[in-house]
Amino acid sequence: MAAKIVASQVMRYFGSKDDRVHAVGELNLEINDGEFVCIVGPSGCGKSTFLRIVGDLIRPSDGEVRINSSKTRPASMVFQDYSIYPWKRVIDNARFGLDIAGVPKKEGNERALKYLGKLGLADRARSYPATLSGGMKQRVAIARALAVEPEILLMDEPFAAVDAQLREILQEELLALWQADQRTVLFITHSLDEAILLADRVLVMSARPGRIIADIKVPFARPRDPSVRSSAEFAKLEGELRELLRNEVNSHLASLEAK
Amino acid sequence: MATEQKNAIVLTPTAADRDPVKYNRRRRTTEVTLAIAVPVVLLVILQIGADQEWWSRIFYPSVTDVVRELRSMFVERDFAYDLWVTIRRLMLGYIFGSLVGLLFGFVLGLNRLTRKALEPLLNALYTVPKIALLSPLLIAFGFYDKPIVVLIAITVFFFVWVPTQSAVMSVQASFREAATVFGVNRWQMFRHVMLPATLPSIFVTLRVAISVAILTVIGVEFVFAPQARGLGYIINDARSTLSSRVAWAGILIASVLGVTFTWIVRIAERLLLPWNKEDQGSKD
Repeated sequence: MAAKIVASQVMRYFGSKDDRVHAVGELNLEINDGEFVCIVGPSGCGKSTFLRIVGDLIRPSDGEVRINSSKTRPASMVFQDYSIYPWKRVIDNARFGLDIAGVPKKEGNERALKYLGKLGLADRARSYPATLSGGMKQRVAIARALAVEPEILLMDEPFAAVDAQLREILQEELLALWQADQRTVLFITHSLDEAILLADRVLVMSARPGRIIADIKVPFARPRDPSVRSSAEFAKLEGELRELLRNEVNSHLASLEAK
Repeated sequence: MATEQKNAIVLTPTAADRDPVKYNRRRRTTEVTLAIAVPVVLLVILQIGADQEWWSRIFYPSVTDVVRELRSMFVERDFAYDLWVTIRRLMLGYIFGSLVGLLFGFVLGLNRLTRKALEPLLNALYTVPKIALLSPLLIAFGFYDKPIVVLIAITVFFFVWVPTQSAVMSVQASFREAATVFGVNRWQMFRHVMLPATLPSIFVTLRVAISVAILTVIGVEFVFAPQARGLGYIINDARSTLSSRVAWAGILIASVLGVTFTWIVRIAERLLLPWNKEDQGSKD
């Protein structure tokens, strides 16, 4: 499989000399074309920072991230707090990326409406976001990211602010959507069961400064059936990851106390 | 309402809980009635007080006195011209001042370099009392409309520039980031994100600025020579000739101006900002 995203010796610091925070590094990883990769890790480990580097919102302090694509902006991003625009109607929000790319409005509307339909929001196209619930706003954000049909989809804990039942529904919707075009996806989450359900590979990140401490291939078949959540293998894998993370968090806390 | 009965607190519905629809309707009626009744009662008391001479009718004329005087001012004293002159100066000064204020607010808010370059200078100018600029302006522009318009424009400029710049700089980073990921250029960022994000607070600023402009134009007309005419001149002249009815009439008109223009700005806001409306339909 061709490599889509290659991170080599990536380091990221914040702040100046005395106050410097070593957020990420040294990070080395490879994501292949069409792979769905989840990154899990303790809070503050730098997962979001790394995602933002891949999305070209910030640059690494050292090392490089190579994205193999001919487009200037091959990635689309879905944020944790939706970030859809309250001054635009749902359809205009979904069409936003296409407007920026210069796609004619008529075609843009068709594509935006198509993805809104896949997320069950076609009937709310003319509404303003103020009248939508949190889950609906997040779906608009996803539709917006998908409407441009990006080569890479970056998702930063997109379901964190959503209730448990809706979260399961959105996970399944995302699986179905992904199955249709199989884009490259880099998905950040705290939730281990979410990561195992969705991903081909799960990368475990250490506590700050973030490095990859495990790279686990998820053994379940594609198309992924949501019922795998209740299989024994799923529970076993989740248990292993949980143990790994717990050790990581404990040793990190111990090292902090020792200082 | 809670009643204590031997170590028990009983929580029962209040009147509001028992019949919320009726309670709300009743409350709304009370509020609307008060909103109308309070000013009306006040005016009635003023009218009776003046009629009964509870206070000096010379210094504090009754409502009817003021209205009668107003009519005579329009008919006999060409008050319409003074009013027109004031409104014209107000409009020109306000429009120029706020347009330039908006421009500076956006440019300095968006561009770090220009901000660092110009902010110290503008801050220094901010605190200069604008009346002090009267003489140089008169010398530069002659009489009378131009210096007044420029003075209003300068005052309005500062009142609009500062909050606009602040609003631009406090647009949520996540709004900007979402656009950056799609590869927006500067114009697109402005048009799709920065401008609509700041418009609600800009309208608040514009409403404040129109009030400031009215205060300024009247104040400036106080200071100018009688040949300048205007609403401010009328009010000030009335003070010195002890025509309190004219003064109060002028004050009433100034207040009407304030209410009218503020209302116009609100209408503009409602037209341009449809997403701020309360009545958009049900949440899911």
